[in-house]
Amino acid sequence: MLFQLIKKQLLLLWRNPVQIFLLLGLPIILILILSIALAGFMESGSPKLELKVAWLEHEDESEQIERFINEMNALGVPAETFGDSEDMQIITMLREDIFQGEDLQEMIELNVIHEDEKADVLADDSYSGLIEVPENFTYDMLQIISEQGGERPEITLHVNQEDGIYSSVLSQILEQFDENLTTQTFLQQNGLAVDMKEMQAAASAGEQTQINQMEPISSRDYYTVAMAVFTGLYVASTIGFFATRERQDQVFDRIIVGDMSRWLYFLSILISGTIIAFIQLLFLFCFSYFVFQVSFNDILTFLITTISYAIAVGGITVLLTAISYRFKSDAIIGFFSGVVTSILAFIGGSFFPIGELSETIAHLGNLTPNGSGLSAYIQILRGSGLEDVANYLIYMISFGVVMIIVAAMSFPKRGSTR
Amino acid sequence: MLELVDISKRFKKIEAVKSLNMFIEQGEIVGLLGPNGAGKSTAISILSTLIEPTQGDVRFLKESVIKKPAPLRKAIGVVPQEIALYPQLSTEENLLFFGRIYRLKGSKLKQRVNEILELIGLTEKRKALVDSFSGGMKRRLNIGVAMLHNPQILIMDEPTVGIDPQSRSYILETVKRLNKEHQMTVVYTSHYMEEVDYLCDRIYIMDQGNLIASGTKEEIKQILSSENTISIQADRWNSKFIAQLKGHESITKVHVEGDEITLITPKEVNLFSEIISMTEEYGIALRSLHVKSPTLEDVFLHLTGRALRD
Ligand SMILES: Nc1ncnc2c1ncn2[C@@H]1O[C@H](COP(=O)(O)OP(=O)(O)OP(=O)(O)O)[C@@H](O)[C@H]1O
Ligand SMILES: [Mg+2]
Repeated sequence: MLFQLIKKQLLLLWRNPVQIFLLLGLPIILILILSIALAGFMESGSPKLELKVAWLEHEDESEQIERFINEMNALGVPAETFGDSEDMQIITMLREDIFQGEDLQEMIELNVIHEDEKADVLADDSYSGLIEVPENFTYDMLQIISEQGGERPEITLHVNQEDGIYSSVLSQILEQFDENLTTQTFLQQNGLAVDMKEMQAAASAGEQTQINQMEPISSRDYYTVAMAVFTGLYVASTIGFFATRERQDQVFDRIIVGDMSRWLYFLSILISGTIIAFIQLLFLFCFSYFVFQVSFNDILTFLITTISYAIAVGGITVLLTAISYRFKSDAIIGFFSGVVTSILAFIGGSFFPIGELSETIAHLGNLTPNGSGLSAYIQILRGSGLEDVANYLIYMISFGVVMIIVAAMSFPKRGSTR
Repeated sequence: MLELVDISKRFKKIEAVKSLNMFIEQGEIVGLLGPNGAGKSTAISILSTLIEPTQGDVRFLKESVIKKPAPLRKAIGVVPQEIALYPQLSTEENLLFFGRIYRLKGSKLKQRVNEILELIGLTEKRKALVDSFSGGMKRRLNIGVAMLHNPQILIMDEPTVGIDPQSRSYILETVKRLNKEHQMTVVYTSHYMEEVDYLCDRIYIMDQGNLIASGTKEEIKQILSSENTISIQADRWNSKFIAQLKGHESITKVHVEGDEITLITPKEVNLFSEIISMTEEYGIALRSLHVKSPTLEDVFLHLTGRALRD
């Protein structure tokens, strides 16, 4: 019997192309529009880093080192004080161990170029920056470290101004390197042994984590999730409208006269809302997977999150239905779909990542079922597992349960639906 | 078999039904007549266990059904005043769905669906969406759905509102036939006198929540035995003429509807010559003037001073 009621609900939806469009077509259009229109906005907040960087060395380092060692020997200072010649290859270290090292190589594509290519690279927008090592850099640096005096040389960084976040990452890495050299100089001058390589490695690992925390998801990812949870709310008003139509047309009376329990009907609305929301979310995410390459690695956590959110939507559905039955009016459903949904979507971050504006707003957003769902999905996209999103899931399910309880209390008793 | 005992129903401010007593015997067609807002639907809803009365009892086979509605629900089929169907589903899908609600299954269900389609003449339209139907077709299906489980008692709330004359007589014929051939008990609500006059054995007349008359057709028409109903027809009326009729001491009721004026007068007075001279005085071209045999409409007019419709 319950099955019949649910099947009928699905059939009604299926026969209603406008609602289908609202639940499935509209979100896809919105994902497209918003992810393109607001891509720039997203990028500054949570980019996925992939930098192309050009590397230009004006002079080979090893000759400079040789020259330095010879001069030292001439001065009677054993070059071993400064470690073996490999340790003196400052620039090679920066290039091979840092930029092309394990930590950064996934993010940075380093192309070693020739001097005559420089102009082309600077004109090429696909490059985020050009790192230029001046002539005599290593020699001059070694002079400073060994207290022979002279100007401290500097590496020049040309950045592509449009790639704000990228260029700042590059300059941060170089600053770090520069700081390390200073530290090394100091330690060296005070007779302390250093391992430049390790120091640099540790520093760049720090850099790496910092970048990771910058939420590497694309605007497509974000708006797929944002629109899915946003339009998921419309399932509640769609099914609610169907249900109040049943009351107005006295179909509900017919069901009651058929001696069917009103609670079975209540349950059928709850389950229909949940199932339809679940199917809708799956549809949207599948679509985004194939078309926008938005993919969740942890499928199980993704499914549990989807079920949790569907339960929250089911709860709203049955609450709207119960209230509309109680007051014999569909005004509440109109109000929900016309006003409340948009407010929830706004606070929940479906239009733009409003939570980044302030802690309080982020917190408030997570109190909405859609905001909570959005946070959970985004975290999963960033590689979090079930434990990391458990709080959101528990919140969404609890939210659904509270809705169901309030709905059951407001659902009219026998004979007062007319 | 089915009884309403001193039923009252109050909706906040409005008392929709006031101390209504009613009984329905096996095999009868009982009419419930009254103008808009009379309380017919409320009475019907109480009778079919949809709403609980504020006061009074509903008994089926001598048992109260207010707290235990199940036995009555199994015995009745209810045709709601609204078209209680899913417009986006086909004829067959509607029948199958409601059949399942009535707990019919499998081949039994299929068989009943076919029988009903035959009965309401929609076999050809079984795959068509209800949305595409004419008012008459929807009304027929609305009735068909109520009969899926072969109920003993069919309770119909204005089943012919807003439909064409063919569909209407089709429905009336069908109801009459079901009653004759299958001894189906019918409670028929309407504000059309002719329908009730044609179909029903006994009639209840309600107005503003009150039962104002009840009995067989003959008994009810007897109410007018001491009075004459006079019908006057003319092309145009004159308001002074009507005012004079209304002010006449021997005329108890005046009702104007289009080109016809209905008057109720005591049997012993004869106003014919007086009326004729009045029409001449006001220059009214008289088309006809005659004493009618009383209709239910006239009874209603007599009891309430108002016409049933409008
Ligand atoms: N659920 C309700 N809440 C409040 N008032 C109601 C309700 N149902 C009916 N009424 C009022 O009770 C009175 C009787 O209504 P009812 O529907 O029983 O009349 P009816 O005879 O069926 O009229 P109609 O011919 O228009 O169908 C009306 O004044 C109506 O406004
Ligand atoms: Mg009515």
